[in-house]
Amino acid sequence: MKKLLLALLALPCVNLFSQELFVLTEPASNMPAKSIGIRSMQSFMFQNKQSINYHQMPEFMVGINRLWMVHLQGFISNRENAQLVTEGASLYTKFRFFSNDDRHSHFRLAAFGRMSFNQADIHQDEIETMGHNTGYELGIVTTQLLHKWALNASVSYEQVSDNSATHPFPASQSNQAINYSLSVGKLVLPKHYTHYNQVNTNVMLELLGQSLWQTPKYFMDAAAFIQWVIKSRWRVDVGYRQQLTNNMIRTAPNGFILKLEYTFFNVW
Amino acid sequence: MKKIIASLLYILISFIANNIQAQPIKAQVVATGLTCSMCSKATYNQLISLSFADSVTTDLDNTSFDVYFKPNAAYNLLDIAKKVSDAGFAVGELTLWYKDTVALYTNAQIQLGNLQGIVLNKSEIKKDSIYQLLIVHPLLCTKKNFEPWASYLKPYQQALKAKKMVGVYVVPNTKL
Repeated sequence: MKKLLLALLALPCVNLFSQELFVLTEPASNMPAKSIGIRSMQSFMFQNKQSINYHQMPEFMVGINRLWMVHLQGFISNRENAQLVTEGASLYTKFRFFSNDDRHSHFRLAAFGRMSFNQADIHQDEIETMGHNTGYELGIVTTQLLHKWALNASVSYEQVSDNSATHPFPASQSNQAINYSLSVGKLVLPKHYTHYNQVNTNVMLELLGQSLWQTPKYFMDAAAFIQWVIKSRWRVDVGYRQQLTNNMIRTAPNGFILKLEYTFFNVW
Repeated sequence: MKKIIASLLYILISFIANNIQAQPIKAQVVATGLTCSMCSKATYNQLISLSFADSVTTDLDNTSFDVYFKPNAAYNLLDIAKKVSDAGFAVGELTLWYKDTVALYTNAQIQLGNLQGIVLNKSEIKKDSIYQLLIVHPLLCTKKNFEPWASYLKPYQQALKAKKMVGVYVVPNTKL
């Protein structure tokens, strides 16, 4: 039976702003105030030539106000006995502290943080609080939107600990890392807007990397996505992530990603 | 004697004219910081929830929204800024479309809903005409558009910060 494992995800991105709605990284923009989003992110990662690891991450997102948003996320996979098991959860928050808006453009800065717990086994050098390790992550993200283009960059510090009494973090491995990302997106369709129900099509390219703190190990991945925004509420992302360079143990770095999302506006 | 009575009448009419509150036809709002339809949708959803908004239409390509006013509804223009801000963006420009039954005299203070407006430019508006008022306030225009009027509005800085007053630029040759 094929096993699906998600081992490599940086921060998932949920945002409402089209070409800056990156899949694996968060932009500096927030959800609108008083909005709620629900999301399902699924990964089909190739562990070897015979097996695929599957990971499901349902997410509940709240735009508290224009500056602050909070996500609650679950981690589910069928790595163990080919049955879906809830492995952990995380709380993510982002605060936008700077914004310079102009016609069809903006420059923004935000700080973010994540706290996760996970009870799965630890089987690789890479550390990842989103779906793999117990720990926390703190970082800063910046976004430049200009007409149909969006450019995003982030840097963060991540620290992990034991997943459980039966799955302690190996002392020989680095439990701290610096993560970095660079993403670019473009709105390709429609050429001109006529109504809200037009399907928006965006293409994105993301570079994601990690450098472990205590050992000289690193990786760099690239991911490409096509995204559709439907009726200004639904979002569908399909893409592929590929390792470019690496000198650490990683179980399943390459694979397909599918993300679905829906937003409720003015909930309260 | 006749001249005195005429002057007193002029002063009285001026006072009444600048205190009669006509309801705007619409507020044309240009939002900044967004490009896509999902962003516009979020902004539209905020604007339609305004207590004084009867309806809202959108120009998606130009990210501008026309907020049509409910008849006789009390309104505060800075609520528009708050709603756009809640959507995650900012107001780059706000223009009120007005048709008043009395002439608007220049260089005076006028009442715009819950705010007081100080007219910034010399202009003569004819009775029963439709005209546009470009609103000048840090929350209702870009920094670039506010700066030319900053020195003129300096005496009213406290009232602007307290969100009780806005500058008003009367757009000449308005065509509806």
